[in-house]
Amino acid sequence: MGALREAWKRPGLRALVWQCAAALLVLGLLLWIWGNVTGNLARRNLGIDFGFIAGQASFEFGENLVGYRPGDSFVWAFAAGLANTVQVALVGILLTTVLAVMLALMRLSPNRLAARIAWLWIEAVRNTPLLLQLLFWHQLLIRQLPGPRQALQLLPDVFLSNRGLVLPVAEMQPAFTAAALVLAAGVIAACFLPRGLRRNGVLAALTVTLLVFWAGAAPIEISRPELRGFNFQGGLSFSPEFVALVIALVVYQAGFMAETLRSGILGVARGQTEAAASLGLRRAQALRLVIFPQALRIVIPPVTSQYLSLTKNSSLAVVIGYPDLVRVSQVTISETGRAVECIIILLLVYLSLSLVTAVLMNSYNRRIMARGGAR
Amino acid sequence: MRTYPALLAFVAFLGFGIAEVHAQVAPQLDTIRARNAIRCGVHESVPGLSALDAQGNRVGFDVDYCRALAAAILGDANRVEFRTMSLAQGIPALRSGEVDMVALALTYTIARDTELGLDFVGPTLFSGHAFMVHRRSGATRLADLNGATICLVAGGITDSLIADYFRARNMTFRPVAVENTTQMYALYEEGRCDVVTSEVPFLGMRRSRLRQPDQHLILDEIFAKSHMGPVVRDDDRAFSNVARWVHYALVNAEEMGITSENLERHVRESRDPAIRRFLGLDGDIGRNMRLPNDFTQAVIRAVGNYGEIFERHYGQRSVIRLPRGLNALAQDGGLQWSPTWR
Amino acid sequence: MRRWTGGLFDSVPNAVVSLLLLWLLWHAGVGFWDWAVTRATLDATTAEQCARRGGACWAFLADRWRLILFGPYPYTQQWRPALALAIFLVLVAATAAPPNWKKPGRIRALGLAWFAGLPAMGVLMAGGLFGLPAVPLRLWGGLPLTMMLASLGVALAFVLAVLLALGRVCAMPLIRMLCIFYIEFFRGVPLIALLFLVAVLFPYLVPPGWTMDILLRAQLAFALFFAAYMAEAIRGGLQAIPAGQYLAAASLGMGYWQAHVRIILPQALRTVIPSLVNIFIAAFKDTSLVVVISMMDLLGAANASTAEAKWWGLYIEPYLFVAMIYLAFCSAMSAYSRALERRLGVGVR
Repeated sequence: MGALREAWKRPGLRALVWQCAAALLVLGLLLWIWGNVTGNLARRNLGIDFGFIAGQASFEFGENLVGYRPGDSFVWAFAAGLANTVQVALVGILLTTVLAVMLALMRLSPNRLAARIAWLWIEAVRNTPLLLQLLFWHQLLIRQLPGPRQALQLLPDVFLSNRGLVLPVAEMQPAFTAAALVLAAGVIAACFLPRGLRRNGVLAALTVTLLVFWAGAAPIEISRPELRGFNFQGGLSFSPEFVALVIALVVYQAGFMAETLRSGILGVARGQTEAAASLGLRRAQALRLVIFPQALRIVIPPVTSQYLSLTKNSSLAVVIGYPDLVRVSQVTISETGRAVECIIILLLVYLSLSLVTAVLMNSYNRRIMARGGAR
Repeated sequence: MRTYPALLAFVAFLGFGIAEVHAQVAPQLDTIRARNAIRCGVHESVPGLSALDAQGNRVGFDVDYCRALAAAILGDANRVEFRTMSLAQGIPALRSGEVDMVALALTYTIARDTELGLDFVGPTLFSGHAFMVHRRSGATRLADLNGATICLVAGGITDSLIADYFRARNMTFRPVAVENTTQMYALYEEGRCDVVTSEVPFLGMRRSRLRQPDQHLILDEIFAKSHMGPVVRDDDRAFSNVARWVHYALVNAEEMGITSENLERHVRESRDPAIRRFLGLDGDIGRNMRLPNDFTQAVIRAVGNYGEIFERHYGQRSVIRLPRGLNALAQDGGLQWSPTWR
Repeated sequence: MRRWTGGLFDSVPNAVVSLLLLWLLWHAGVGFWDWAVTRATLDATTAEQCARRGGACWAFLADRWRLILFGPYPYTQQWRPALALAIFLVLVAATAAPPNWKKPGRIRALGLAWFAGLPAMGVLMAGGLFGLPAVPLRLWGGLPLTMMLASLGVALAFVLAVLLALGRVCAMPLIRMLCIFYIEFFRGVPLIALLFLVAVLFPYLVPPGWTMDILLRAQLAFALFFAAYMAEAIRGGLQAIPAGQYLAAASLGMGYWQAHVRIILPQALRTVIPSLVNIFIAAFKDTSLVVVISMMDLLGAANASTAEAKWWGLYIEPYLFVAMIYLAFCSAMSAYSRALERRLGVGVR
């Protein structure tokens, strides 16, 4: 007994025992759950089998970026859903950043009216649920916008109706893809050049791209939207679900991000503002050259999590009928009965998206911190 | 460090051991009797199929089938736990064991029967899919619908049926898939879509509830048949038999002229051997299904026969007002039939 | 005068911006007044009658406000969730007031109040005792449901979050890894996916025959989800504790748990209370997502309130009503959180 108590006093042994206990507890719980899952599946003569992915999907998506048609495999269907999610996320992140910068500047403005209005806006969007805002924007777009026959013409060939926004777009050609690939390759290659030559490298890549494009491109055909029958045919169209989703996400997230940017800007020491003023820089110049670069270092981590939040919040699309990844998962479960597999795929995809965003932002953060040197 | 693999192996062994123990199949009838309730998946609010009445009770055609099953197995039609679910959630909930039967007006398809491990009861309603359009669009036939935007509910097979039909005729359409029928009709009415689709009985009922019913046209042509019924899992033969024969009991009762009103009279006075056997007064009709012999009496007492159920929810005094049509008894020229009760 | 117009007109660009904003405000204000007051309808029985005047349909709210606030809870029994909610709010207000944290007598009184209050709220909502008719879980809805999902979820999550945060900074690698996996998993997946998981997959995860009402499953999902976020917040607090505190505790002969419970955690939690309140605000808003698993919380009830034919087509009035309620609760909570931050001296450079 005494020996046991003596042994217990040794921290190494205690740590081992605690870890074993924790491991047993957690692993035991996980394995119990796993046992239930396999037992229940065995009972119903199902099994975990990801082979259904190669089967043919029969649901209809409408327009989508990857060109999925009913009859394509489930892999393609999931890819279409993922492309829709990524599309919303990228457009959302871009517009959120723009709006958040504007709101943050308004909030910091010496003009008290602008600051107040920005504060009211931010408080309003931060204190109501995103789902409520999304449903509101969706209903607004559907009910207030006219039908396609009475569509609003914003610009020549740009129409807004309750079927969405249609724009003219250049017809897809192989030369576009080739040019895009060359540009991407050139920019990546330029990144490997030493710092001084990078700018010239990027310019060189751009020139090569333009040459390739000019050499290989057929005459550019513009596809114009035309009202034929029920809807606009041709052109690039954004469904009202997409527009409502983007508006709601952007408005909501920009409120949070504006506050983050504002605290970042305020976090830059006052001495910097005064030093900039003493150098004769105007307020706008001081902001751009001195404050922002330093504020960037402070805000990158919280802004990363804002971007991640936006991506995850895009999953609310399923409520208004925008066919994103969650909807694809739902209808696949309904069509194939493979609930466990589909939800695993769904969770893994979102985890990967989060991971990719976090890794990109962390590397950007590291570079900023390295360049900034000591605090 | 060396202890970790051993620990993991031990716990893994435990886990699989647990799985082995649970791999025995428990008969569903036993589970239901132990629980003393049937779990039935129904629509949240589709008038005629499943909706809450003014007193907060759930009523509808599908609801009556759930209650009939409860009456047969447990003797009490009120021992039903209703789980409301959307169309997309129905089949997964059935397969996972969350509900015993799903009554969501699912169309009988080969994929659902063979691939998904389901058994259909009935069909309890023979019908077809049709379209409703805004009159102002000028479309009067299916061929006019090329390029239209069509509202439908996600998770069913309607979008694939439409896709097949349109592709065969070189037509295209743009789908708008939403979660439930309420949302679908709201979007259609606002003009988000040109066309809405559903089974024929429900289109008529929904049109009468729109703001300006005469501004909408239900196209006559049916683009796909839709024979619907409640669904159970196919891994328990005994339970599938019970579910299917409850439906046949309802139809057979109407064939024999037994209604909930004259049931007691038949029980007291009938000399017809067929009727006596059917009602469990002679013989042991329920024994092989492990049901009480007079289970048909409990069913008819609870919900009536097929004709009464149809009249109550789809008849001329209901919101749907569907003529019997294909759903008349076979002896009257329709398609509803029951095998022989012997 | 200077105070109000200072900064508005002192330079030309500023003046232009101010005039533009004033013009916008005036137009928006006039339009809103016209819609909400001048052309509003206070007594109508259908949406069409309201639409004739073209303004806000307050008659709809007068008719349906109870459905929106209480969901499908039986009409005659709605005083019960109202009373339960009132008790809850009083208890929370009393607990949140800083003057009540200092005196041990008051803390004891608060403890007793909660000890009595929680069962009282349970009995009021569920019934079955003291002559109150039983109301099954599937009929709970509206604002009381939202409040319950958020508070119970966060309360359960808190316990788990403390353990996770301690594990996250633990020196033992296995425990740390497990906690990191948990936190990163639940922060990386959207809440909707988790709600679908518990709704669809729950029967697979438990032995056959086990069942849990969908309300409790949603509660569990919320608790697991927010535990991850709260764990990160608490971890921040833990990492702000100077090493001297740990050394001092060790020098007093305190073991791991003693040191943490008596010295480290109280300090860490005090500094992160504002973050935890912010997470509660997020949880309160995120309860609206249960509408995807067919539960009728405040937002779901607002959606359902226009489902009847006579009120079909209205959306601004119910959404505005619900938005006001959310705004009221959430701004009160964020104001409280800011006041706490100032009081605790956190966040001031």
